[in-house]
Amino acid sequence: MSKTDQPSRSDRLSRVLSYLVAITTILGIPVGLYGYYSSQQANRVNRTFDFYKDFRSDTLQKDFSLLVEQWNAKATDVEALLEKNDQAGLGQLVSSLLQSDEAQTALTQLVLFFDETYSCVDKALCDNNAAFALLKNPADQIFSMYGSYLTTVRQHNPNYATGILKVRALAKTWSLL
Amino acid sequence: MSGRSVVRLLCSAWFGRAFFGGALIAASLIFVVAAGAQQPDGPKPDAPAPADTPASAGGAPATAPAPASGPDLKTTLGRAPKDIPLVDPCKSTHPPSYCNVKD
Repeated sequence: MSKTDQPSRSDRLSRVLSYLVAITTILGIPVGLYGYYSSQQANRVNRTFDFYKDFRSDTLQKDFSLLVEQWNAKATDVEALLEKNDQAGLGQLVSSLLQSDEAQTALTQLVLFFDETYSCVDKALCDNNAAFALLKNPADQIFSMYGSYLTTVRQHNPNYATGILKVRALAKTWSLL
Repeated sequence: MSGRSVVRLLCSAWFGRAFFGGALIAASLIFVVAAGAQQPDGPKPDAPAPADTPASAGGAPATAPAPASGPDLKTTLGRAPKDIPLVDPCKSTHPPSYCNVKD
């Protein structure tokens, strides 16, 4: 009796083991892939956050604050020009704000920063949604204030300040991770 | 040896290998998942203050959210904040044409 039972038990064990192997493989591969892509995604978010930390660093904050302070100093004039819908006047005012070397350097630093940031997002090395959440607003603010100057320069050099425009136009994307 | 027993032998050999192979794959995958799970989910502890929290020094908010409508920032805070534009042309009633520029 035991001689006839042995192969059948072995068969059953073999079948159970094969099911286990199949289940482990079927479940393990997607779970493993999910883990792998999650870690990649986390790296992208960290890289974007490093850019945000750079933006919040003393150097860039000084540049950003300088541009905002200059803009705010002329807030009344800007409001008056906007009321009159005087775009040429606004352009002249913005150009006058950027006459000093300090202001030009500050704007250049910010333009370069956003060029680098967008390059990182564009190459999928940085996370689009993190960039959207952290850096879209500052890019929007810079463009809103100095957009007339930036668009004028872009007429001669279309690549100038592309990063600011691109980051400003970022949209939230759907992601499983 | 009948054809059936040959198939059975092959299957059992395959299952045996597959079992160890599967265990190896599963162990590697678990390792990958565990490595993925160790990635930080949010800002690091030494990260700078988030945009909507007060900065560690100075007292003034790093970027306080601009009120959609309400009292003028200049009069509320005594002086204009350093990094919030008081006027946003692109949100005004007559936004300049450059506001619509898309790259």
